[in-house]
Amino acid sequence: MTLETFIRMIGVGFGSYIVIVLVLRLSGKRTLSKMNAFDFIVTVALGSVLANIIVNHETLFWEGLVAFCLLVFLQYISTWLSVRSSTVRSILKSRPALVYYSDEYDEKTMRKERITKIEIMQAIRKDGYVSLDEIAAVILETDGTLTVMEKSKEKHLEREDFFY
Amino acid sequence: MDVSTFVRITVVSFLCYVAILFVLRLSGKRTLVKMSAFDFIVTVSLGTVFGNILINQDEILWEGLYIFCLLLIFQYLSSFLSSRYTLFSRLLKAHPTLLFYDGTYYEHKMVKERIPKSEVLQAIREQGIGRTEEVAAVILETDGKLSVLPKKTNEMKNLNTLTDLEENQ
Repeated sequence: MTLETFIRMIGVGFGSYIVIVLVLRLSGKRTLSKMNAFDFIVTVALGSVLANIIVNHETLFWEGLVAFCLLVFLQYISTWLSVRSSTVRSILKSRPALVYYSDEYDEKTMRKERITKIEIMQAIRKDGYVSLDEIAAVILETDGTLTVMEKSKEKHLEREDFFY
Repeated sequence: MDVSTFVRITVVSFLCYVAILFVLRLSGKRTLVKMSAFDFIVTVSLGTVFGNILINQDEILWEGLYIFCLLLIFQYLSSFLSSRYTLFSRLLKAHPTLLFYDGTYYEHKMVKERIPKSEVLQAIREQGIGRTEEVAAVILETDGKLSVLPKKTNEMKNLNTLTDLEENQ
């Protein structure tokens, strides 16, 4: 590596960093939020594009920046559309699934969503619950996390209470 | 970069985005569940493959899309099999390990899993608990995190979230 490459790499790294911070900042918080399965993949892809720009800066600088901006733009469009149209929303986003409810595992849903009992119990323990008796429901969310709901003292929670 | 390159990148990226979105949507929520270290690695790989497709699209567009789909199919198969057959779930998934239970450290498990006592204590502190007497159990989960179960009352019954551990203790 010559001194010239070294300096150019610093310039490109610095330049693309600033451009990317600006693009992300302009596109809003939603770009990097991980509300459904796809968002996390896009976030990693954005990081991978940035890394590629810096490593292969001689060939890929402009192509990389275009790819980065396009990805942000496409995420913007898809979230913009899904806020406004329920058809687009249902195409882009799956629905949450109830995998444990009223002291029973929903084996059918578990098979369909390919979730094992071990994973459900792990999610419950991670939230610090000792006993399944405290749990009203476990829900597989659209971003692939398992939400654990505690039983409410005031009210017996119905199936409808978990979806809005 | 001339206009035709720009147009090509735009069109191909758009199609890739749509294709990948639909493939992921088809494969279900489970694909991106991060319940084990391996799931997490696969998710990051998927993102990296996607990023590489976008940036080297004239060279690796089809190879990239093919690898992306292959990774999804492997993930689908392994979760499909392990949610149906315990044999596969034993082969493919690590099992959680009990490290501390009602005042006793399981020293041989800790040595085997390479978790020092200080890390168990750290996990307990991170839950805001000051005394090990207040802890019912500490479990090393399959994604490498430590779960700390506090003693709610002074009784140790009803620890039925630990039922998946007993068979391999």
